[in-house]
Formats: sequence, structure tokens, C-alpha cells
Amino acid sequence: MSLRIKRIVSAVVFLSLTVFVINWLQNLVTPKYDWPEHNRRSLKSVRSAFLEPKNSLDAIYLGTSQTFCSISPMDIYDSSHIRSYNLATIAQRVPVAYYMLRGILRRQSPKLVVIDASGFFYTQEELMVTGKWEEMVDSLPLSCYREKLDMMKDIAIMQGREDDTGYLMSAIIPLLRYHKNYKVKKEYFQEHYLHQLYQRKGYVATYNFVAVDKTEVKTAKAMLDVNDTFASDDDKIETLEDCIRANEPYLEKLRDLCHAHGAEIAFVKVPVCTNTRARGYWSANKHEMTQALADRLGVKFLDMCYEDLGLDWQYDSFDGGIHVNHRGARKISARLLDWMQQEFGLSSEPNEKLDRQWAYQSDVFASEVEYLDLELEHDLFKFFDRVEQGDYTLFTTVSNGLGDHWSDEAQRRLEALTGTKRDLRDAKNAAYISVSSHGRIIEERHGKKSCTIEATLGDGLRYKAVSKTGKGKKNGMVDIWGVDYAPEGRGIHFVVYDNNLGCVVDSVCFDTSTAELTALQETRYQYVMRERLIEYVHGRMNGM
Amino acid sequence: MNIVSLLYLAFVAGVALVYFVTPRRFRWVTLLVASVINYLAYDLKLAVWLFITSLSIYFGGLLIDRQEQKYLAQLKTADLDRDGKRALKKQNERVKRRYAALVAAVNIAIWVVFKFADLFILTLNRYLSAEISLWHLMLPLGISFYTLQAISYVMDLTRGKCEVQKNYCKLLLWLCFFPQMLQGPICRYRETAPQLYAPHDFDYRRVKFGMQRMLWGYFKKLVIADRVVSLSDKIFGNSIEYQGVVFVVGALAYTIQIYADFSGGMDIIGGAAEILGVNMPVNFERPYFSRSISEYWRRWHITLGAWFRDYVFYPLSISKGAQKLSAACRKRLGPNLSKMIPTYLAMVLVWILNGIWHGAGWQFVAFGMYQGVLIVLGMQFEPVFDWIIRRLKIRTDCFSWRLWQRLRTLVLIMGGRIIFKASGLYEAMRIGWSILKIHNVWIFTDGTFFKLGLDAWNMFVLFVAVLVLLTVSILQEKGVHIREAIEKQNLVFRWGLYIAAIVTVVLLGIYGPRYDAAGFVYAGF
Repeated sequence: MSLRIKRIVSAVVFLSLTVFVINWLQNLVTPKYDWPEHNRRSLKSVRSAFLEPKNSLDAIYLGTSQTFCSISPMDIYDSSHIRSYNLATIAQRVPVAYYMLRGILRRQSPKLVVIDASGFFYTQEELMVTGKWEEMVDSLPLSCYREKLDMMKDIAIMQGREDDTGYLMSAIIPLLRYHKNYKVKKEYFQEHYLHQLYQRKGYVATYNFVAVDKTEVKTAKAMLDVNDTFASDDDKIETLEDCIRANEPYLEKLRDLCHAHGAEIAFVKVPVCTNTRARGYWSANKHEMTQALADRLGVKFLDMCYEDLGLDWQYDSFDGGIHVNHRGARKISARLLDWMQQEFGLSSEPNEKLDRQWAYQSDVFASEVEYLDLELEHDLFKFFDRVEQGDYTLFTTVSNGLGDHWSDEAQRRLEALTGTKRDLRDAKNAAYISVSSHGRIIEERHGKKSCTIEATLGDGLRYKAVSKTGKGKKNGMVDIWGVDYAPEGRGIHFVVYDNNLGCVVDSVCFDTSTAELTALQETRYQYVMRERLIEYVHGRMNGM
Repeated sequence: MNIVSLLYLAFVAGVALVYFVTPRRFRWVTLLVASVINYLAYDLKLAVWLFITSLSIYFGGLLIDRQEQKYLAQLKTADLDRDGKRALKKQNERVKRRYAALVAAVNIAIWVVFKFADLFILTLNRYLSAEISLWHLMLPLGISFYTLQAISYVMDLTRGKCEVQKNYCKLLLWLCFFPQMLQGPICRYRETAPQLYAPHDFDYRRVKFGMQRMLWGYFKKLVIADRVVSLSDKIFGNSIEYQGVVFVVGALAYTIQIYADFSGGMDIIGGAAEILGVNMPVNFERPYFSRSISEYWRRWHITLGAWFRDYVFYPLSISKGAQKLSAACRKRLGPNLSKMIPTYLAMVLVWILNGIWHGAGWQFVAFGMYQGVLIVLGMQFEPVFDWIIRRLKIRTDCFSWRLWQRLRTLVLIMGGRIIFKASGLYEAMRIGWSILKIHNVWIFTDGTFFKLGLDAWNMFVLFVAVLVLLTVSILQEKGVHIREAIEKQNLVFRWGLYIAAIVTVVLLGIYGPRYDAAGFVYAGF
């Protein structure tokens, strides 16, 4: 080999090696956008959209967190065989949605693009929050390099750093932006989810519920009857108009982009509650302005806030009315499907290969939902039914006594479920703890004022349970491995430990001092549960 | 073009590629085009001043050369005796010097207007209660460097130390060769120009060495200088909040910063030039190993010191006026001191000019004077120091003495840095007083140290990086040629070292959004 060739080969090998090392470092420091402890959505599901087979999607949904919590493509598929993907992201700005759509349209040719109107009301300043753009630049695959570069260029213009080549190049080489990330909290950069959450199709299934004050909730019908605004309207008309002005050009571009790709575009608004907590997330003014905007752009608009979808805001939201949980999402998805079919005649072409794949993923999704249904259960007797069917260890503790509404039926069902012989009707103001599994009591204590069990179960599960009477808010405790899972509130607490997953899968308190037996939930277990559940689902996917 | 940018790296790579594929006789044209593009990219309008300077030295050079030719012709044709020849030579020198002075005056005037107009107006407004608005002139890129370089050309021409360049484009290339535009070095025509015009072939080893030098420069700039800048900026920027030992930390930080920044920049520039076959003059020779202030200035910004020595100090100290002054002082001060008076005065003047060159402000004048006075005092009291050393029987041929000399010089340098970095002369004095008066050494144990702009992790990175720099400097001081030494190692070691260096710069360098790389300190001059 001549010296010249030897040197060329040597230079190429050296460069490749350097690129390899730098790429490895890049993967190490570039954010993965997983926030498991906050139960927030992983942006990796955006990347998963690009792994869908080419031209396999019939519809695409864009929007904010309200959208990705509300529209479940797999539920829509189960009812209609329409294949769709939820590309909504946290606080997604319309310009960001535009670039995302541009990227996904390189691979897909959907018949319909649905965009949620929640994102139409970000002000010009809010549109310029670069973090929202940057995380999307990082989430798009390299094949969308044009979109990445264009987005980066837009951000650079917003920041007045158009001449910063390094910043622009960081669209392709994120290391240039994140090389100092080794200082940031390491959890944000670890891969918590080994697989791609493929079966959810961008939908974020949320499990628990946070009850909404019933007195604040009005039904859509009631609002229509009295011509009421469904939410307190603090929005200033001028501000909203400014928002629309800032977003309209991008929406126009979005519409034109859809039309250029032979897709129709539709605006929707997924429901939010009418209570104080959700105030500001939607309003009559916003509705009217969106409707006017839709008319101007020639786009159909469905505002589900004014529709009676049968949502029960007491148990259909996980955060008190702003976002729905899986129960709510099922109802919204059903309505959206109905609208898409009626207004756009949306249907799906049969495709044996794709249908086989989707059917398989649907099955995996269903196995995940099995667990969700236990958590979403707010009826005491249905809760008993579900616990009876699973392989669980049940921790029961009474906080501040049972009160007056612990019925004979409830007592009978508890005896059947746990095997207890203790009649709790005799001790309405007493303390009680039990640990049971498969209708058999493992440990049980009761006392006039308080009682405690601290023990280790056969499989090494260390726990401490406390029951007290008194005036405090938190007089029941179920501590497993140092974490107290029992929620606040008076009544009977149940902490459900899944013997297969090896973690707590539900924690609920039924307030037996009220006739409704109002359910309250605790969410501290969800982080671990999510991880275990994903492992379980992942294992099942591989096993099938 | 910022030399700490991907664009610059791509630019250097692009220029190198085009340079080596261009036919040999046009290779210098490639460099010229690249240099002009680089300059125009900075600011189209301000480039006019570069062209004015280049035209002034071009035509000035032609006039000087014409005068020289005329003189040589007269010398051949005219039948002159020895006195006549001497008179003719004197007249020739006088005319050439006038031309050179005119060119120098034009260029210095431009430089002074750009650099000192606002200071002058401020002074007028303050002392004459005038209300003249400031001009806020934007400095043409590298004006302080290329002006001195331009003057050196006509001066050398006058002294017959270089040949006239009759091709304007070639002269322009020498003046605005792109790597050196930001912060020098101040090149001499006879040293650099022939290298620029010569067609260099691709040399694998030279290109490799050039890239290594650039990498080393980026390490110094991005990992050390731009990291320690947070420390020095915080301390000197909020000096009212601090006292005592904190300022010692600040002065040390700034001493490290300015060296890593300037010498790092020089390495990047030198490396880029080396890739293209041009060896830039050495500007630094491990200045913090100096054992005296005068040695320090022979090792720090060598090309600037040499310029002042050749074009200000020597002409002044051997001028007729200096000789007259020496004679006048002889009766009162004795033969020894009177002989030194012109030298000392020239020296102080050079240092004041050196200070002014660095910035428009009285603190820079004070900075220059501080250096000048230290050198003069050192020279004047050298016999006294020698006497003390002899009397106390101090050994001077050992490591400890050399270490003491180096530490002493470093402390004096840090004193100068305080004057340089402080927000004003009064503030510099206040800082100096605070250091002498307050000894709050507990800042190192009560957590204050890590609240001065760098957290523990960054402090650790800085410490290790400075240790690497120190080790390399010690090896160089001992005569080890690092790049040649690495070249002799096994492939795995070499590649591992290179990749580790790249990764260190990429990962630990301060750059990118939200971590803006600080501008080069000397680019501001």
C-alpha cells in the first residue's frame, strides 16, 4: 500500500473513530425527555410515529397535553379499524405542530389531520418559548433534517442569533447544545423506557382520578339551556385576538400543507371541566374566535366542550378537570371517531399485514388497560369485584373510624374478599388493620384508639400499617419499603399490591362517613408501577 | 469570523482544500481571496479603512523605493567625494523617513480617531463642561494590529530591511492574511510575506501538526479561559461586594484567563496558518516562567514588544535629543546615571504607549507606567539586590531561588492585571489596598470560594486543565517538543490522546447557546 493511500485510510479510520465516540457522548447527554416521576409523556412517542409503516396512518392528531390525554388511537382502532396517531405534545405550539406535521408527512399520507384548538391561544411571547421548540427539534428523527434546521433557524431568529452556526448545526448535532448536560439532574437523561410505548400510538393513558367539586360542574346541556359560558371567562378579548393573529399564519400554512398532501384538516377542542381549577383553559370567547377562525380558513370545527359526552368530572379527570384520564379519553375518542366518520367519511382500507400488526398491539394495549381499570374504579363494590379477580395482597386500614355508612353489604363483601371475621359495624369509631391475599387473612389488628402492624411477608415484603382514630386528616398509614401509600381522608383505605408485578398498583380511600362512599386516590405508587407495567407489557410483547 | 466557531473550522478546511488544488502560481491568490472574504464578512463598510491603510503603505512603499532608486542612480552617476556621498545619503534617508513618517502619521491618526475619539470627548466634556456627543465608532477588525504591521513595513523599507512590494494584491494579502486578523501576531514583512507568496504543497505532517496546535488552542480558550472568566468577571465586576483575599483569587483567575485566552487564540491562528504552510512568528514563550518583569515582556506578546523596541525604543534612546539630554544630566547625576536617563525615559514612554495601545483610559496608561517603572527600578536597583544577595550568601543557582524569582514576578504581574481589569484606576487602588489590609483566608473554608462564579465541579475541571497546561509548559520549558514527542508514540496511545483531547474540548468547553464563549480579550484591543 502506498504511503498516500495508507494516510488516507488512516485519516478516515481516525475520523470515523472520533465520530463514533462523539456520537456516543451525544447520546449520553442529549435529553430523552422522560419525566417518569411526574407521570408526564415521553417525547419518544413522537419518534415512534416515524417508525410506523409508511403510509399506514389514516388520521393524525396534533395538540397539547389535553389532546394526548384525550384521544386514544387504539380505542379508535378497536371500534373502527381506523389507524391513527396522536402527535400532540406538552403545550405544543402551532408552529411546532406545523413542522412536526411536515416531518411526518414525509412518511405518511393521512386522509385527515385533526388539530386541537387549545394551542391556538398562546401569545406571541409564549410562541417564542424556545424550550418547546428545541425539544421537538431533538425529537424529530434525522430524516427530517430540513424541518429540524428550519425550526432551529426560526428559534435563532427569535433569539437574534441567526449568525450562530453552531446553534443552527445543533439541530443535527445536539451535542453542540447539550455538551454541558452532564451537570443536569441525571434522571432526565436516562432511558427509563426501553421500548417505544408503541401500542399507545402517542396517547398518554392516565390512571388515577382527582375528584372535582360537584357543585361547580355544569352539564353541557345545562349550559346550552341557559346560554351560559361554560367556564368563567377572565380572558381579555384583545389578548385572545393577538393570539389568533400570531397563530393564524401558521394555521394557514398547516391547512395548505395538508391540502398539498391530499389530506383534510379539522379543528377540535377536547373537553375541559367548568370548575375553578380549569378556568382559563377554555372559554366562550375562545370558542367563538376559533369558530370564526375555522370559518375564515374553511375548516370544520368540533367543540366537544359543548357536547354531552357523558363525562363524569368527579372521576374522569386525573387532575381535577384540566385533563381527562383513561375513562374520559374513551368517551372523547368515541365521539371524535363518530364525528370523523360522519363529517369526513373517514374509514380505513383493509390491509392484512397492517391489521395483523395493529391487532397485536391492540392486544398489548388491552393488557395494559387491565391494570388501568382497577385504578380507575371508584365504586366500592366494583373495586371488590376487580380485586377478587387478581393476584393481589390487599392492605386494609381504617382512618378516623368508619363512620355511619359502612353497610351490611359492604361488611359481607369485605369478609368474602379478605376472610376477616371482625365485624367493622360494631366499631364505627375504632382502629382496624388487615393484610390479606386470596380471601385469607395474613395479619389483622384492631383497637379502640390505634393499632399497628410491622412485619415482613413471606416473599420479603416489608411493611408497616397504622390505624388511628382522632381528628387528624391522616390517621391511616400503609408503608411499604419506606413509602406511605395510604391516601389522606377518613374511611377505609385499600392499598393493592400486585404479587406478579411486585409493586403497588392501586391505593384508594372510600369515605364511609358519606352515603356516596366518595373515592379518593393516592398517586405515589404510579412511578414504580409504570416501570413494572412497562416491563410486564414489554415481556408480553416479546412473548407473543 | 469568530475563530471559535464551526464556521471558522469549515472555512479553514475549505480554504486549505482550495489552496492545495489551486495551480501553484495562483495559490497566494487563494489566500488573498479567503482573507478578503473573511474581512468583508466582518463588516463591509469598515473594510474601507483596511484598504486605505494598505493603499497608504503601498504608495508610501513605492515612493520610498523610488527615492532609494534615485539615490542609487545619483550615487552611480554623480561624481561625489566622500562628504558629498555622505550628504547625499543623509538627504536620501531624510526623504525616505519623511515618506515613512507621513504614512505612519496617516495610519496612527486613523487608529487614534477610532480608538480615542470618545475618550477625548469625554475628557473635554468633563474638564471644559462641554456637551459634545460621543461618536461611538465601531473599531475596524484588527486595526490595532494591522496598523502597527503597516508601519513596520514602511519603516523596514526605509531602513533597507525589506524589499518593496510592487504588487498591491500581494501587499494586501500580507496585511490581511485571515488567521492573524483578529488578534495578531504583528508580523514583519520580511518574515511572513515570502511564506505567503510561496506555493506550498500538501504536507501531511505539517497539516497534522497544524490541526494539533489548533486543538491545543481550543483547549486553552474553551476549557480554561472561558471557564475562569466567570470567576474573574464576577469578582472584578462586583468588586464593591468583595474584599481582601477574594481579589487575590480574582487577580490569579484573570492572570490565567488572559494567558489561556490570548495564547490559545495564537495557537488556533498559528495552527490554521501552519496548515496552509505559513509559520506565524512566536508570540508567547511561557511568560509566567519569567524571573523578572523585563524577561516577562520578552516572553509575553513578543511581536508587540519587539515592535515597540524596534520602532519606538531604539530610535528614541539613540536619538540626538537623547544624547543631548544625557550630556546635560552628566554634571548633576554623574556619568553612570546620566547615561541611563535617556534609556529610562524611552522605556517609560514605550510602556505608556504600550498601555495606551491596550485601551483608551487612564488605567491603561497607569498599567503601562506600572510595567515601565518596575523595569526601570529593577535595572537601577540591580546592584543593590546583588549586594544583598552576596551579603546574605543566598544561593542563586538552585531551584528554590528560581522558584522565588518566578513567584515574585508572578505577583508583580498580578498587580498589573488588577490595574488592567479593575473598572478604573481608583478602583484598582482600592482593590490593592484591600488585599494588603484584609486577610480573609477563611473564604476557602466557609464555602465563599465556590460562590465566586464557579461551582466545585467547574473549579475541579479548571484545576485539572491548568495542571495539564502547566505540565505541557514545563516540558516545553525543558526543551521537549510535544508534538514530535507524541508522534514517536504508538498509534493506540496517539489516537487515544487525540480523541481524549477532542472529547475534552467538545464536552468540557464553554460554548454553545446559553454558554456563550467569551470574546477574545485581545480582539478588543
